[in-house]
Amino acid sequence: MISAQQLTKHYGDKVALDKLSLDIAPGEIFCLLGQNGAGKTTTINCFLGFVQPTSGTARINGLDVAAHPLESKKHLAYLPEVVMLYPNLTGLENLDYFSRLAGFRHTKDELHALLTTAGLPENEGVRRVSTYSKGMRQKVGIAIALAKQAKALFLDEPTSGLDPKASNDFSGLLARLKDKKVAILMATHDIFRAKDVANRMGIMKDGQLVNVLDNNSNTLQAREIEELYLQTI
Amino acid sequence: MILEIARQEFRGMLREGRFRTAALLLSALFLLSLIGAYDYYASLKQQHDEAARTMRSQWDNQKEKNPHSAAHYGTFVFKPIYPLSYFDRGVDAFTGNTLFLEAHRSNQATFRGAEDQGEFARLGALTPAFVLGMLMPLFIIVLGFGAAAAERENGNLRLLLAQGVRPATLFMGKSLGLWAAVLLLALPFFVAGAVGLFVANAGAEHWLRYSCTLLLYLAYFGSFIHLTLLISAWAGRQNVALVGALGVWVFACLIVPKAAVNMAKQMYPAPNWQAYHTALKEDLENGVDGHDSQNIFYKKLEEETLKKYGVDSIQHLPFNWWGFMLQKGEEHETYVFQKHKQKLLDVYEKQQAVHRAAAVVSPYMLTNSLSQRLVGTDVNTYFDFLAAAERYRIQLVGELNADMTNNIKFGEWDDRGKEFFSKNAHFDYQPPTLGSLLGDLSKPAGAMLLWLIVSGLAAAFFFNRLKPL
Repeated sequence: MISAQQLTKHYGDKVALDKLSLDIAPGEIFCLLGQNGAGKTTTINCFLGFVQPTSGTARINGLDVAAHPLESKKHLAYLPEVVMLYPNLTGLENLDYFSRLAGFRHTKDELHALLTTAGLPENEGVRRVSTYSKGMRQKVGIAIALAKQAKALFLDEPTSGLDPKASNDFSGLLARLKDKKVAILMATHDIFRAKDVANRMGIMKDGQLVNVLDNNSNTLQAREIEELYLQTI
Repeated sequence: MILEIARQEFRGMLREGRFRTAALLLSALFLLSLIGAYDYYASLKQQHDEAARTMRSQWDNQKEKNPHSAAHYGTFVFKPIYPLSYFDRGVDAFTGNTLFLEAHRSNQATFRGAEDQGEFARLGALTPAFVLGMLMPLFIIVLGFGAAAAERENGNLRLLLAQGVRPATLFMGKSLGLWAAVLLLALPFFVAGAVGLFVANAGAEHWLRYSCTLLLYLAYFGSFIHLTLLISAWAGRQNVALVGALGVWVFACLIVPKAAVNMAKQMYPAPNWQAYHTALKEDLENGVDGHDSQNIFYKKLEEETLKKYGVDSIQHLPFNWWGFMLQKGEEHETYVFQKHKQKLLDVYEKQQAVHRAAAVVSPYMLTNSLSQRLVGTDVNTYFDFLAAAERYRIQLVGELNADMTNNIKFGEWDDRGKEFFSKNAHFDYQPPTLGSLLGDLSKPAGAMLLWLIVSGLAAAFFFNRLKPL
């Protein structure tokens, strides 16, 4: 569903991505770990078409993103690290607007249900986003991603603004999406959360995918992963 | 999807303090300018109509006198006040609308205003044209400078593009949203203008001119909407976008008009008052003076005329020699005045050509000059009025001198009364119709249209190039 072959990006002399290859099947969660600047966000940017790879291809549902910038967007949903939204609109209006832009017209009930699923307390949807905390905005962002019912989901530090309870709820949500055969690529610093949800974990350094750990058997301990991570970077 | 974006943009704006403050301020200024304009138009129109009637009745009922004395007595004519002149006072503020006509001289002190076209001083008048031309772009900039830059900076752009929005669609949605805000303010104002025309019982010509003026301003607003969005997308950062957009405003609305006027004056300086009058006086003395029988040209003409009619003294000529000479003097004076005025007009025309060339880089100048032309307060309409008044003066003085030459015996100074004076030619000035201006208007109008289209395409181009942060 999500696939990269020899994905490379140069900025002048600097190598941001170096021959990165990965395949994420439907119903699989792949977590990208790594320092800031290791290339996690560049990888996601390539899949979103925001960055043109110097060489290699990024595919979503078999579509080359560079060749089909709009068509490929239909199959993906995206949750940015910072969800700002429009402060003068309510959470519900924001969700409605972004859904309409993606071509979906949800009823009010559906929109409320989406916000609840994303973990926004009831009745908060009708308040203006300018009164929201970062975590609440993040939840509207999650609802926006859910509303698109995409087969590929890209998450950039999705839990960075969430409190532990919300973060835990979010893990549950990802598990349900996994059951719905959504392929998920998640960039994160949160090793424990990654271990909790991921099928596989990749550690990135200087644009390269250095280590890929299989987490399916659930035999890895968080401590081991952390040690490996520290050794890698 | 364009409509969705426009709706969102407009809805967000309406809920914003920035929009409300700016809209309130602009509406208040609109209202003030309308009240001021109505006041100006109504009082001036009434004064003019009254004065024009009074002047004619004074002419008709003047004390019995010799026709040439009546020519010295003179009369006033008035440039008609257009119903649309409320919109933009143009050069009227400098030139005035009143002209004194008399024998022997073509009054021209009122030319001075032409030199001041586009001067800073004009910023002072709170006319509808000022609010639409100067302030509306500021309103557009304040509302629109963040359209692309803010979305980029706060990260919404990533989300928008990830939802599958085309950059071109985003541009069109944003510009439509800005249009909604602009029309919300401008439409009531446009309607008020139409109501004013209706009340003034304006004819088809004025409705046509008004429609063209509105279309012109819509193209102007559109250009500024495009320019603001273009700069927002090009800059990608709000502070840079704001400074850039304001810079364009300062350039187009202040610097280019001022520079054009200065440049035109430098390149084609008009003669100063003293030089003009010295040259005029010299030429006047170099010809027949109908009042001075010692003048050598007078004597020469006398000899020639006596010879031509085969008589030995002016008493025996078949017409009144004095009336004849007054008309000959008048013709010489008219010729000299026209020669010098034409020189002046040529200089002004060259200056205007510089203005026209400079206007190409400033949508404000294009709009301003077209708008003045359309509402009939521009310098060309004024010159047209002056020319008509001069033709009338020549005709009137000619009629009076002809009466003396042909109907009054030499050596007598018969008086004429109401019966004669009321039959003298009337001044009936018809300003040029819109149809006759089309040739002149097509170039700047085309340039304006080009601004609208090119700025739109450029904005779409920069939206396409927009990279999320």
